[in-house]
Amino acid sequence: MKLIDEAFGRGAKFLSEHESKKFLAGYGIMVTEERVVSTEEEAMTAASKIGYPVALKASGEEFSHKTELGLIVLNLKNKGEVRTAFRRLTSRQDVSVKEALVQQMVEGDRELVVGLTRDPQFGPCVMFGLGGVLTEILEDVTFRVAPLSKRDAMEMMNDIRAKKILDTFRGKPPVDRDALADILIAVGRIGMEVDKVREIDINPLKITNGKPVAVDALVVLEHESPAKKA
Amino acid sequence: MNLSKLFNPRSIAIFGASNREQHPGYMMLCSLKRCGFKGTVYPVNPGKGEILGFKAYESIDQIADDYIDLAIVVVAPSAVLSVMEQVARRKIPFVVLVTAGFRELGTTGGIRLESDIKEVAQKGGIRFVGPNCLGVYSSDSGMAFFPDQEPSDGNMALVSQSGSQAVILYRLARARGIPFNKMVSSGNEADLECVDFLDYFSKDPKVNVITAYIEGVRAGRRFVEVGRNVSLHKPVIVFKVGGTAAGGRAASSHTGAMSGTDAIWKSVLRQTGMISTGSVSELLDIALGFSLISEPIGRRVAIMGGPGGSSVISADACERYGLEVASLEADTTSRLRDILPPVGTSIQNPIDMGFGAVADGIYEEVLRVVNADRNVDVVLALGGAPTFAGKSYIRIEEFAEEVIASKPFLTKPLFTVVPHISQTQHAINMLAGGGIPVFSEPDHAANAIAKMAVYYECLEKRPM
Repeated sequence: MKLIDEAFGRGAKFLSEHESKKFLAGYGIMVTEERVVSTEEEAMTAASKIGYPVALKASGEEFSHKTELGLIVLNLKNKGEVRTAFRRLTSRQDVSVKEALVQQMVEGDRELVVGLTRDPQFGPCVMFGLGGVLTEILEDVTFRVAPLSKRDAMEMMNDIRAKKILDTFRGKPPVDRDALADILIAVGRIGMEVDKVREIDINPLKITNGKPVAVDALVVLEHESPAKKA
Repeated sequence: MNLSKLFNPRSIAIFGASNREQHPGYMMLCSLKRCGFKGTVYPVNPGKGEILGFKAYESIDQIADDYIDLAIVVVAPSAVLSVMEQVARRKIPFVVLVTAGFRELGTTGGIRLESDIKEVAQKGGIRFVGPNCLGVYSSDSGMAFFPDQEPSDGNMALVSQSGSQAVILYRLARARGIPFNKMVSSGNEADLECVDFLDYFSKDPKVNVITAYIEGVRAGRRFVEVGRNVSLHKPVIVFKVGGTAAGGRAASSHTGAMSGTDAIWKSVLRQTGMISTGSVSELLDIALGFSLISEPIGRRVAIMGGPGGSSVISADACERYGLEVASLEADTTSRLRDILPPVGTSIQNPIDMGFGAVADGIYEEVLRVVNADRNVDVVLALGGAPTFAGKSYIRIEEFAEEVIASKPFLTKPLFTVVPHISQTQHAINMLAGGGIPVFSEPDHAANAIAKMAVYYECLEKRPM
């Protein structure tokens, strides 16, 4: 894929959040509506177009873990807030932020995680589980070796301890399991087809009207020589 | 790949056969003799005329037999290559390479030696087990790797990456009345791997249940593919050990950080329909279930027994493992009311037979009633009556006799629980010999039933 090849050619270790989402969208994965901006005016225009409330994040392949650096501002409700947030973000002394991502806010309490890893023995494996900030603490995740069948994807959903989160939850409709399965299968396909992608994190995958949407994504690129296929 | 000559060779040559008792070569010879290997055994060892009653030969060239299908090699590491070359020249198709001192050392020397052996074997058309292994036990051909192994009427198979665990499992299985039919201690798996044996066992008509002790696999994707197919035909029960965090490069993503060996293996076993166990005794619990019961297992359990506390524990355990404590039909409870004393018993599930358990024939009667209940998939019978009168400790032998006498009319799978102590050993042997699974406590039984039920549910969903 051109996106991957270009980033690879530049020697980039990751795709930026925006590029990661573009790449995933190419595989049919629903992502947030968003735009990359480099000025206040662009930020405000983008926010109006997308519709309030919006989130503002530092954009660039160097920002792979934004929360830790405080590079995310959520719930901006009007132009003024967007302008202020943009100014603050781009005038940070500790990090140089040239571009920002203006992104639709996705409501909903449920956060899932979907990922891809390359196991030295089993090859590309898809991960699914409970996402959000507690992901690595709760470790409520499960794996399947790619390629995934529909059956594999559906079974994964019943593996996790928190599986009831996929049912009706706090008055919200149940998760569209077919749509979720498609995402898991698609990530498996990427693992099988795109050697240059080493790892993928989609966290959080939020649920809106039952549909899963990638709210943040990270694609890690593979620069070492390909591991021997087992 | 046809491994039948490995498990049923016409003649065996043993290189490094020794007459010193401590030597593994001696042990191999002794094992074959004691197990009654049906073919001819040729010890090859310069300077010995005869070992353990077998005529010994200076070299393989002196042996005129055209049907040597297997060579067991127990010589020093430095001598292995030359022996393999002799085996190749002689066109012996299979080798069990017992000798240790190769890849498992982790040294460059050890690793290189192992790959040299692979090369010689490949060029010579030899398939081999090991190195650093004990090799093959096969009941039907009388092959053994440990002197206490004998022929059996079992239907289980084991592939183990540890020799010691294979020896232990042989014993434990015997003690529980469910012998193995075949075992392979596969060692370093430089050539033939765990997955090759899973495949072989899946096609072996003598094997109904496959068990595996695994520390790691090299060709993971092949393992997944083969494992998936094998599970469709026979239950594969795995005890996987040796999990560590993902080795190699540091993870750059959360996904990478969480995909440790254990986590991935747990999922791989689920994905392939193989059954995961956490101990040798659990592995045997479930193997026992599948070995003795060939019908599908459902989730609705009827619990019945003399020891009241045990029936409560059983109900608890069943629920914990995702089984259903069945609601008995009205007809069942009313018949139970007629059979059991009115006080100190329970005619609802879990059925507590109380002092009623001391009566002759009572277990058979209750079994007959419970078996007929349409809400019941599986029966769990707890042995023991509150008395020390009678033939045996807590009437355990009477229990065993009645359960076995019930077998002809039972249409539902039956599992039993008998505390495992010296006084109950005879009853346990009777039950196992009579084809009835027996567990030492309710928890183990409930776990086995649950894992068997899951296996059958998976089968239903998968296409054949």
